Amino acid sequence: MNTQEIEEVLSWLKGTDLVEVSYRQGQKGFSLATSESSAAPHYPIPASRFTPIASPAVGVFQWSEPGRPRQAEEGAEVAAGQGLGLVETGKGKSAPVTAPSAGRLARVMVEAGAAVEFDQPLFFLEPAA
Amino acid sequence: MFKKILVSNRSEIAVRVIRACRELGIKSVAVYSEADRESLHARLADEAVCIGPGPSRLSYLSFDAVLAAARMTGADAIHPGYGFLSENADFAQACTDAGVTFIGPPPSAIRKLGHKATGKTLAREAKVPVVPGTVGLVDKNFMKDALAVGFPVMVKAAAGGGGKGLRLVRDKSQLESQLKAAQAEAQASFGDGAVFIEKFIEHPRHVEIQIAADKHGNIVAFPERDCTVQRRHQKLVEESVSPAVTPEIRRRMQESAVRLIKAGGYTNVGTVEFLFEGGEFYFIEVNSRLQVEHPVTETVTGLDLVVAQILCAAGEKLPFDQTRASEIRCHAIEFRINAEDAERNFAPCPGKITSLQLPGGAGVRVDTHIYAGYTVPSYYDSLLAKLIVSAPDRMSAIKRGLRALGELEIGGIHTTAGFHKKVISHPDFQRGVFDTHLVEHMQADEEQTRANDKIQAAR
Repeated sequence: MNTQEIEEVLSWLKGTDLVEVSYRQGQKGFSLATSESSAAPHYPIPASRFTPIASPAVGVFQWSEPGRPRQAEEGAEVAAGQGLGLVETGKGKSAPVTAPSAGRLARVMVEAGAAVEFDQPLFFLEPAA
Repeated sequence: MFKKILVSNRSEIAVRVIRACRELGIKSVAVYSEADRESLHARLADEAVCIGPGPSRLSYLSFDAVLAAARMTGADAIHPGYGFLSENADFAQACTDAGVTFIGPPPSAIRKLGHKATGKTLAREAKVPVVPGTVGLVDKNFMKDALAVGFPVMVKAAAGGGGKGLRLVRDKSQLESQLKAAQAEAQASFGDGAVFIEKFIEHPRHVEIQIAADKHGNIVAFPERDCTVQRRHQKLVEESVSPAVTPEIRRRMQESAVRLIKAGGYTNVGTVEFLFEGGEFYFIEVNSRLQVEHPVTETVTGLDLVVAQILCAAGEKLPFDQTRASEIRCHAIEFRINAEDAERNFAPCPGKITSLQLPGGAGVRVDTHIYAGYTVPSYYDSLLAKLIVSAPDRMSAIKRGLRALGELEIGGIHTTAGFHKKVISHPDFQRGVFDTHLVEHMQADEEQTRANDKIQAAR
């Protein structure tokens, strides 16, 4: 991940009510904290527009079953319950990743073939108004 | 030697194994559930992978999740710790199939020795004493069988479990009626009325022999651990050596354990458990893993059992021989500090640890994963820490134990630390003359005292 991408995460972080965010993949990762980390702010913070979609299991991310078309793209409108990808958990076994609600797939955080942890954010969804 | 070991466990034992890896210059991988994000093991390891949600079935017990984490981190061996997947022969096989070394005995040895019934058969073949009883099922000759075993006897259902079809018979006049009752109960509960007769061991101690075996045929047995202080078969205090075992009995127990381990084709570390009464010992079962109380033996001998496990699994020779393993360098006592309320019948007590002061000084070892601010999750067992004290003799170790337990302060939750002080202050414990009923008796005495106090207060 380059500095520009980290800046993007940082500006996203500032727009949320989160005070700290950690991300780790293999041995690499980062932790970011806003200046509010130590003390709760005294003013209201608008809720984030984005909903993270987390990995349902530890394993390898794929966009689809082998030989099947890719199910989603960054920026695409998706329906509630729509399949976005899957996480291979063992021989011939996988766990589907689905959209929790309808909206725009604002950000894709994962590549095909990437090893992912349980609960790792794979996508950020901007739910339909 | 391995380059990277994944530890498929949590809590203090994961911390223990990660420390051994670091000392050996081997990279470590921690796996953790969502409920264990704040756990120390995930922080201490070189890498950490979240493998699932809180319930162990979906994380620490999931073959797929553990093996996926091993694949994604490139670990070449898996240390299972104790509990969870540590005695699962199918998991050991799955590791082998996935090209990862399982740090433990071969699956065949887990199957042979790790299961009570097959273990007992093998013990008989290896001339290891077992609780005397009928070898097959009881038939018309039940009176002759019972007299051969010697009263008091237990009548047990072959298909048994949960105390069903179980009868204590003190003398021969009751045998026929109790046997019939047990058979009827077994028939009703399990659809199988078959029963067998076993000698009733009324005042047993629990004494066990730690062994280590490499793949070159070297097997060593360590001095015994005495784990007689138990509550509902849960060990609370363990010590080595046993105040009840003589050097002659120790030698016989060690020889028996080695014979059994050899017969089972067992390698890596393991423990042979015995009941002990009146100078006689009887095989109960083999624990085919590292045990919670392993630091007692490490402290007494000055050897490292986790390092021995790793070396054996990597196909190297044991770094010590029988003579070295037999050295008794001090007396050691371990206390299991659990998140339980001893005043409320040991009810589990998860929650946030608001402050923490660990004991220290000479002869004090603490193995733990907790820290001030840590929240004890409710998903797992309640072991918070193991406090191990050592001194040149048993009485000095008891005094050191009282001192160290007094220094220990865990704020925010109830723990068993105070209960341990009562145990080792008890005259029977201090004399070394007690059996597995000690805790029951202590609880009954306390109940009595409380009742008496109430009567006094009412007057």
